[in-house]
Amino acid sequence: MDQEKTPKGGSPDDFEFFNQAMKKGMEVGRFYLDMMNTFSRSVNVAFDREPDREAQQEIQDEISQKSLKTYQEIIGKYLTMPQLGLGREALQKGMLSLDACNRLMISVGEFVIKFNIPFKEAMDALQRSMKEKKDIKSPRDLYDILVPILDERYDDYLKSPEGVQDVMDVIEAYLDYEDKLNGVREEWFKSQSLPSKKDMDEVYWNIHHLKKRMRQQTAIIREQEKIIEGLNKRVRAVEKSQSMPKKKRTTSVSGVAQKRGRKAS
Amino acid sequence: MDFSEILERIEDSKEFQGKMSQVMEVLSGDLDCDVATTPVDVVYTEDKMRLFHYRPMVDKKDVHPEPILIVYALINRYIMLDLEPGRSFVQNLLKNGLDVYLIDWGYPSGADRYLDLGDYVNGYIDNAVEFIMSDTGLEKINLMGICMGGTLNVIYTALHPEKVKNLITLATPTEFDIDDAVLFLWAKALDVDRVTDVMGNLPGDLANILYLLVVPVDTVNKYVQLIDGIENKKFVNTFLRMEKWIFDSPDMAGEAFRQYIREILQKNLLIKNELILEGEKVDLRHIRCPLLNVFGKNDYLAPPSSARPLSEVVGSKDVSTLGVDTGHVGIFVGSTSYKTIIPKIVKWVKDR
Repeated sequence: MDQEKTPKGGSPDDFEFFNQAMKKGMEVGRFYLDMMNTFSRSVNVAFDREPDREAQQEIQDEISQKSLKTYQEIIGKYLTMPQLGLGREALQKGMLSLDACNRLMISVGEFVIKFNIPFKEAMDALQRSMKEKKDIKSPRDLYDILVPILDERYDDYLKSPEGVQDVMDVIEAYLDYEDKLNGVREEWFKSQSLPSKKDMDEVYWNIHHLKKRMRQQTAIIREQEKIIEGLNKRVRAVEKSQSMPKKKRTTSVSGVAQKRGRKAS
Repeated sequence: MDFSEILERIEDSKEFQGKMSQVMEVLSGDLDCDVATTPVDVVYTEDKMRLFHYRPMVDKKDVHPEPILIVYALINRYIMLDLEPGRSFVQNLLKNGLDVYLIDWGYPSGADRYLDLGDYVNGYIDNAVEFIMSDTGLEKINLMGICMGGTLNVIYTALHPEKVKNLITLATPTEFDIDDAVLFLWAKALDVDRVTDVMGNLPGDLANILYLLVVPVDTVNKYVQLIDGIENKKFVNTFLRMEKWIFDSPDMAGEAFRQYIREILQKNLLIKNELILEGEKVDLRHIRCPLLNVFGKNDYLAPPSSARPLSEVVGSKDVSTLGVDTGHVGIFVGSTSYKTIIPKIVKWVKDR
């Protein structure tokens, strides 16, 4: 093969590889710097004397997008790429669960950052209170002022649509991780010839339905028994009334005789 | 005094350091934090459910003839009702002459993930009621429901009114179209199908984390209060018992959780009389027995806006509503409970 030689004797293909690697490195570096810049802007906004809530929210969203994008570029896309060979399926599931775990960590990290905003706001409010109140003599006094302020700020945040969404995002990331981990567990059960979670769920489903039918049948039997008991009572009452006809006739005959006697007299 | 000065004082404070060493000393010492110690007999079991019958604490002749069945929530455990001798909700009922039965739901496992609300209401609760009825020879008994257990009891009474003499609901949420409860807002945004499909049951720890996150400041503040009150051994014992109860969180059966969140909480079907359970419509107007509806005015888990409306939608003419100046736990533990709530419950039951 006739390849063009470079002055030092290497082929251009060798350099192409290094070029690509350098480009990639630069790209990753750019992502990282971009993310760090966003972080520092976020800190500036957060510690602004009079913070703008909208600007904070905007920058938080930007952090979320950038941290995810950076993760995806540096690590994520290698974990989610198709695997090859004999252990392909198991390996792929393992990699996906690792990816989901990383995403959960990012999500929790973002939540912690957002969760700190009400704390920072409460500290600002505390500083204002300290200026107004002159009778703060001990750390305990300060703490007693801080607690209701914190309570109010967190209540506002957690009830706000953003707060609700932030909690849901973490839960979703956690569920995604658990979902992917279930895949890994299934593979492990399979390798050990153990029934998988899905197999067991099927068994539980069938047992549950049998129990439900049994319970419903038991309830029907219980009702039937009550009806039978009621009927038996009535039968016994009828039998009782039929076992005393002589007495009744006697009474009624004597009653009639008495009536006749009265009429005759 | 400025902020940095205060921080310096905290660091240098001998008092603070002394407290911390005292905390370690007390917590590593001799503590009495047993819970649920009231003598009890297990009289009926079904799967993981156990029916307790508490032994009377007054002379048999003084025991009220109509027993009361307490149904606790599916989240956390009944031990909160029997936290410690002298501060036990159940003991106070017994000392006032009530005959108390209680359902312990146990710890559901993967095998229970398909249990739905129908299984709980028409199965376990109904079987417990039938057992008590056959045991006592009565045709009706009193029902008391705690929090979500109250919601289950409300459904039960609407479906089986002929078996319930009196209904008592404590901190029981029934109206969910409200915006002052953080937990309800979260539950409304939750993809409940995804939770149950992935997790099977609702993990107790996940539920617990969410409960703690609703009041993050209280979650931290209570440990500060522990440090404050570390010299009071009784307070420390009670604190540790509470800690046991808070972190004793069984998982919740997946299907029951799905149904509760989607149909009762997200769609608010119960209060609208549109809930269907095992093919039967749950109509709250069928509840015609006397109702005592108790709620805490400062309850953030079952706020008054969620608990109070039950009184207005039932078919009963004898409805008593009692709003108390306390929180969710304060209804069952604490002086308000023992001095105000329990005597009123006992009198209300005995009067009927």
